[in-house]
Amino acid sequence: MDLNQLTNQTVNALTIGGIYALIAVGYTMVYGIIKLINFAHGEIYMAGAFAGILLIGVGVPLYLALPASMVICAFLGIMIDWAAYKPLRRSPRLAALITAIGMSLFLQNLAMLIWSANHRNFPDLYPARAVQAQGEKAEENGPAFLDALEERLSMPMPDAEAKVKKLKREEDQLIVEFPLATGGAETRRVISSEANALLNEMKAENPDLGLEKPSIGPSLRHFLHKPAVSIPIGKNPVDIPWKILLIWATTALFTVALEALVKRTRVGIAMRACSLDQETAALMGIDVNRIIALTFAIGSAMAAAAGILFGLYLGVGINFRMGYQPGFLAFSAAVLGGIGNIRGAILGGFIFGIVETISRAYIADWLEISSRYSLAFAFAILILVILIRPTGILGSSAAERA
Amino acid sequence: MPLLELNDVRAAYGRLEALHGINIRVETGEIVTIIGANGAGKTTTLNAICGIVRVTNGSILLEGEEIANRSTKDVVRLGLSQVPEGRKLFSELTVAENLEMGAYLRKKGQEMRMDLDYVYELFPRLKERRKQPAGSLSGGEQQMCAIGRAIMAKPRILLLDEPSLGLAPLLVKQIFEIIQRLQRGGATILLVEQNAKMALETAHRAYVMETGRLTMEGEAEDLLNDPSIQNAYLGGGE
Repeated sequence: MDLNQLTNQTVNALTIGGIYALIAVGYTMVYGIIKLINFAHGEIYMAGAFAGILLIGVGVPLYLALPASMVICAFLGIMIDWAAYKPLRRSPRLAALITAIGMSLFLQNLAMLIWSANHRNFPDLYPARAVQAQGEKAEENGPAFLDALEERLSMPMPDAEAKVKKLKREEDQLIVEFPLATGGAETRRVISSEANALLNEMKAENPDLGLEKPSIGPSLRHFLHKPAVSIPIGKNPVDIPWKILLIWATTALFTVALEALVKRTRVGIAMRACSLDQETAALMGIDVNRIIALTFAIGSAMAAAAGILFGLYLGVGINFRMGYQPGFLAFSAAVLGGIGNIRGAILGGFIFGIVETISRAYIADWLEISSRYSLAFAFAILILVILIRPTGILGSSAAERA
Repeated sequence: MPLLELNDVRAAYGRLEALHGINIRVETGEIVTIIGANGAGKTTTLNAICGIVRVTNGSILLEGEEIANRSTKDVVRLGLSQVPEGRKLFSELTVAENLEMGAYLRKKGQEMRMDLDYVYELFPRLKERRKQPAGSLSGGEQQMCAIGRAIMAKPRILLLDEPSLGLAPLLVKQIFEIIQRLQRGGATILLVEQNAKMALETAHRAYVMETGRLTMEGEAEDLLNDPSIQNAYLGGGE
């Protein structure tokens, strides 16, 4: 067995599993408290990803865009509940369920109207290029050229397509950094037009300059995309980039914090009390509607975080339908773990991440079928577990009682 | 001024009127009981007070403040707490968490700690089992937990709905002793009971309820000796 591939796939499984886990807790929390499968939850995940890339697109750094999108989606979650589910609180459960499906389709189409049906990429977190002098006298005249270019680029350029944010002069190159979300083509055009103008001026003074057009390197990588850990295994070491560590750390932080909130705080106990018996909870003076809203808010914030982390992870594939499949998987993960049980949802999320990755990487290969069947394996596991344990792996009698 | 006063209260489930104009008064420090058969409207009375059932007529005053049709949360905040029929503990929460929910609207702090100590002193069994799920307690322990939970709200008046329901005779006796002990500790109690004998022996004053109306009221002792009560509720005078 190729240890190299195995390690890579393990990293993938844990990453995607963590993202599923973050989505699944929202399904399970909402189900726990109002016994509704919130089919619009996948769309909150999509909205979180969009909010994230749009915020980063206007220059908000990732560490602020993440919490901001979580807050935005928390409000979105509360609004969805208020507009679609709250009026149906006393209606038959089927009515609310159909409404949830309708809300999901509505949000998908609304997103398509607003943001079109195109796939979007996660914004470049570090739009910067390295410029190097070229030509037969590059060693001799290159440094002076780069110094002059640095000075030139530091001047205000009102007509330029993109503003230069920062310049850094190194030994044999000049790093030109642009603000977040500046397109790669624009950065290249700004640098090359200034460099050409400068080159012409310098050649006019000194015909024997010996320099050609400088090389403008590819867009530099943000540190998040650079390797953080290198595992010496197999033929080539496996590099784990910072962004994977960030996704893991965020997933761990949020799930642990959620667990602590629900287990230890008064509001958390009230959430569990409401999921057990709303009437009696009200008798304690608990504002049940507020607790339900809070549940939607927390679950939605988690989904938003998952959306952004997914975008950061793959870098592509952000569009109006992106919530559909992960939503279904996360819902199934919540059922697998025992719906209504937060730990179960987290466990289910990771199981789905692992099963999906293994079947994509190994089983499909071994059976000589397309890796697109990987989901069939994930759902086969779900069916098996539910046949043996209808309440899910960690599900208690709560699911039966409900 | 009475602590709690119901004046000509009518209440309805939808269009179906369940209380046809009742007057009840509870003074500070008293145990008042409402006795009556199943379906007489006793629980409805408590639910009307707590804002769970809609009051269509009359007034409910808590120390002179109108509480009819206020939200349950407001009513609890104003100092009224109920031990519901069938105990209604949060079965999967621990005993300690159930007690904490009783104090949901209160600030955490010294005072709450003292009340928790008081509850554990009243019910040492609860202290032993504070980390167990409430659903794992015996019937008697569950009733103690439910009463403890209501006390944790530090109410001005405690409403008890059928605390003896489903308990063995020995435990019933214990529960009523606790009710008296609470009263001696300064609590005001409105007690709804089917076990008329125990209720009348425990309470100061009593009301008799039949199909949504109060048919008799008076000192508990007088009612206990009243032949018609003995016939109807005490097994025909022993």
